[in-house]
Amino acid sequence: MITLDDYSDIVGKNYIENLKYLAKKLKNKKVIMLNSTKEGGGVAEILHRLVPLLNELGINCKWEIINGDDKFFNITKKMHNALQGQNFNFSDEEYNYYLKINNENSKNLDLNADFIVVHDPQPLPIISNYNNSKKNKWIWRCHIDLSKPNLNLWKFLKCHLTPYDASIFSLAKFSRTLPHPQFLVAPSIDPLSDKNRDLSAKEVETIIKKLGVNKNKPLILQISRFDRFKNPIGVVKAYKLVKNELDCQLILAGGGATDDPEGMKVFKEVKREAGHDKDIKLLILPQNSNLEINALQRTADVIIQNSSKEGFGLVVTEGMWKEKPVIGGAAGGITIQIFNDYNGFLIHSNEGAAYRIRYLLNRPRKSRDMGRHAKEFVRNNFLITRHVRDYLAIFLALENQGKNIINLF
Amino acid sequence: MNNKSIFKFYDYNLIISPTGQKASNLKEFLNILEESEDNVIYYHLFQSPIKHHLRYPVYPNDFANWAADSLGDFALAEKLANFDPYDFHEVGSVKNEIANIVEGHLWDLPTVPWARPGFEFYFCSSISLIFNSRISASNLNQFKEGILKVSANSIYYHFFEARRRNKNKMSDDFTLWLKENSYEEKVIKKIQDIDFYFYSISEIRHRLLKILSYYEENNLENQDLV
Repeated sequence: MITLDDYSDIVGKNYIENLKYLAKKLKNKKVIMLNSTKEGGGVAEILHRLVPLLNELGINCKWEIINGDDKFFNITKKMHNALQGQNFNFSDEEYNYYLKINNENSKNLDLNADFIVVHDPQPLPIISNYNNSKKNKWIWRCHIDLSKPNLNLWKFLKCHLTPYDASIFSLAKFSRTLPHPQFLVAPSIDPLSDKNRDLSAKEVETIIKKLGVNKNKPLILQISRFDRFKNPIGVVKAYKLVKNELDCQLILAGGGATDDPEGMKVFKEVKREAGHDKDIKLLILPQNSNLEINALQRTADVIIQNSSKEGFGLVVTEGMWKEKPVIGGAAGGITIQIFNDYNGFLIHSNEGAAYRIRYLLNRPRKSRDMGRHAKEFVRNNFLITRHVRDYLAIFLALENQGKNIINLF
Repeated sequence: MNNKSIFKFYDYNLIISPTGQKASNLKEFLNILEESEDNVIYYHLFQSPIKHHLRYPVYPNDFANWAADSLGDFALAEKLANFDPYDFHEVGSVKNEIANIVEGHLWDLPTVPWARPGFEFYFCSSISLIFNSRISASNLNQFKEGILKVSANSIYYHFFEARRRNKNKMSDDFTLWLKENSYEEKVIKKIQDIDFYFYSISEIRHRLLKILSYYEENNLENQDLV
């Protein structure tokens, strides 16, 4: 089992000691994390690490989930998309059903804790079923892009958000005007998970052989769902521009296309664009292909994330952690991860992508330097240990509400 | 050895707190800026080095970087970069000065510069958490070791933030301690001569260590302070 001290080699002993020191100030505090699933998705992935680490630090942290039927999750899925800007209308019946399921869940959930962190919109209105004493601090943790939410839905949800004591967003641009304090917590990756841990050369070789990667040609890689916002067709176009100048191969790898009709459509379009080029591989990876993604990222010469719209872009973080400079579309959270010519390049067109790919393939030394910077940048900003520290700091800030400077010595 | 001569390194944790306000163009930016609390100005102007602690950014504060990257207004970026907020004792005066620069610049422009959607300026404030890093020093060697070991945020707290806390641009915690313990004027001056406004925290750490090592090799051999 991975423990907090296992992270010492990565972030330094001092960092871990500081976490323990901060946690001591919150000793015996009770925290509840509440979301709607323990399996699948980025939120569950983060909580699977975060909750044990908080407990190891002496915080009494429990993870609860709300239950619902297909009807409920279809409504919340629609809400998720509407909050990210898609145009949907919600009927009163849908709103009422959403509230009813939350109400039913509240009968079975004891949410009495010092800090109750409610993740995303699914359980958001559950707060109204509890006696919100001043002792209990309710925090809404929003993981989604709220930069342009559907107005009617937002008005409805905002009423339920008002009684909360604080909200947490991933990026400043996702924050809204709210009657309580808001905090920023960027997502993070776990450097000891299968997707990110160090792999031996032998492990990498076995995996990439299985995936049919040609070891003799520079590899350009994009890992993403086959989604228009990730612009995979643009990646193929950029690759073709590069291929005119130097021999290379392209892998586009992603999951989820088979059960997503839109994804399947995009996949077919990408396939058509790729034509009969044997140096282009389109891989549909099954869920939990973490080691495969890890090995591909470690093998790639250039990693690209050609998104035109992006929440945070943890796949960029993962690539950077493998000491690769990442070429990323100047969108969403990618812009706070990549600094031009330092740890990667931000691009605005397929031509820009092609130009930067050629630049990096022609300058392996520069590419290695940028890769080193990329890894250090992630070490300092986007690892799970920073995520733990952010939660501790926010809990302490809420215990000292109203102060801009909190002295803990 | 008395207590006075022990240097305690403090660690510093920044919690970023967005206000929910955003500016899509320079006029909106000015309006929101004028209404902003001191803490917002402090975050965007003074605490910028924490975000860029590995590498010095093109411009030294969030306002100047936004003017260049999102408005494409490089003249304004240069004016905002050349402005040194540490020249003022009060954040309120810093705000007025920045507002004057922006207002004067807008006055001379034929049109108001806009940012592309997604590249608006998002106003934030911050909460600072200060705690004992449990690293301390009572001689030069330990002092150097401390500077090497502590987090970048700790260096920020003692070398950047201290100047505002001490209300004196020349008074960082490190040189104060060296002075208090009668280290040579020469080394203190060398450290004071670092124009901290032009270095990342990581570069500052490197320079401090270089100065202290040179001093140690040439003057003192891990001498305890009395």
